[in-house]
Amino acid sequence: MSQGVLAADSPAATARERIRVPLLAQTIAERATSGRQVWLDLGHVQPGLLPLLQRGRTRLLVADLAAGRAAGCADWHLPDAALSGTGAGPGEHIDCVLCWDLLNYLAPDEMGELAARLAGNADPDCVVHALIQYSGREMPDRPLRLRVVESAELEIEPEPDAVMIPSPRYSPKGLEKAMPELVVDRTMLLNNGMQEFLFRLRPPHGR
Amino acid sequence: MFNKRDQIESESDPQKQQESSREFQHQPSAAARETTSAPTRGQAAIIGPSISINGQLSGDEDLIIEGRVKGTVQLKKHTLTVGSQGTLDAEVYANTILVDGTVNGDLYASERISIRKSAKIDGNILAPRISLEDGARFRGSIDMDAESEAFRKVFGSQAGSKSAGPTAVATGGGKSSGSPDKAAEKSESRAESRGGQRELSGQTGKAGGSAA
Repeated sequence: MSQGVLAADSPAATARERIRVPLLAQTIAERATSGRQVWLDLGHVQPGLLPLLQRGRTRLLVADLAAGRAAGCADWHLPDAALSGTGAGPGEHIDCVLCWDLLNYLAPDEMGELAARLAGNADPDCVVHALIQYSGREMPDRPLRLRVVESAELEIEPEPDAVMIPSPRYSPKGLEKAMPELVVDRTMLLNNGMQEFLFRLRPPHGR
Repeated sequence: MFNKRDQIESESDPQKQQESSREFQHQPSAAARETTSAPTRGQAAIIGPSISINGQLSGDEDLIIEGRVKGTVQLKKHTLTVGSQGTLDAEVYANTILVDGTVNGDLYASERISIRKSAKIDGNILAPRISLEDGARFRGSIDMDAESEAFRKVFGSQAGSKSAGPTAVATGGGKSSGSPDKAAEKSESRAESRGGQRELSGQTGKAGGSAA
């Protein structure tokens, strides 16, 4: 895997770049105000997300998978610790998953394991909001730290010391193939070269 | 064992208080408000850095922990501050909880929980109001549903009604035993949301919760 220096115009190098994420805004508007919900954020804890979710009665689980990756954990891609607290009773399942800039760092079989874990703990109406690097041939060697600024806007924390690695550039079909439990509901190309996805659970008979 | 001490260092550090923090409903920064609500000079007991406690800790005054505590901490009418040197492997019940240090365990506050950038928390937090600074390390669940059965179980009805904020239950993250009430509660709230009532309730809660 070739490595290069960080491109000056890459998302990781630019200072405090903001991206608009309309599908996230839509998800928050539709779901986070509709009573008791359980959301799972696979990334690090987001201070900016809390006031948005507080409009409803959402419980937020924070898995911080990237921290496990940085620590060298073998199964860093599986949110087992966060999910173990959701089985308190029947009906308490995940309603929304936030999966930002993680899928590009997973091999297809790891994505499959992750999707199976999520599906096994999800409400049938669960959605997965994901962001992946799409157009760039290279990406930073670690997931970007994205920060919620507003419901429709994320800020990318600069990573000046990041090393660039080749991007797998997964296509929507490729993601669906790797994660048979999920089906692409909507997708949008973002102006910084990332792509925003909204997945839904595929009905069991359709897998 | 406990010593009265001057104000905790972090409280007197103006630069630290300037750190940006996110508080719900765009309230004043957590650090700014904490200058009026955190334990102040001579008011709080302190567990010093060299002290290690294993067991149940309870009291009727504010407490600052700079040492190590393992077990349970009960200060239901007072403020607990986990200082930057403090390490808790404990369940905590308090009126207000401020965290600068390390916590492995669940935090329950009847008023609010403030997590600063230096904090490292692995556990679940439940409070009507929660503020979190960028940079804090957290893994677990965040719940602000003061209407929940779990919240009422811990604090009774007074806490939730007083805060009147959006509510939550601390059950995720694998640390707490979880509440059997959650399923019924979720079903109930979903049924309500279909009729639009739950959303209205959430908005009401938001307004109430924004009062500092």
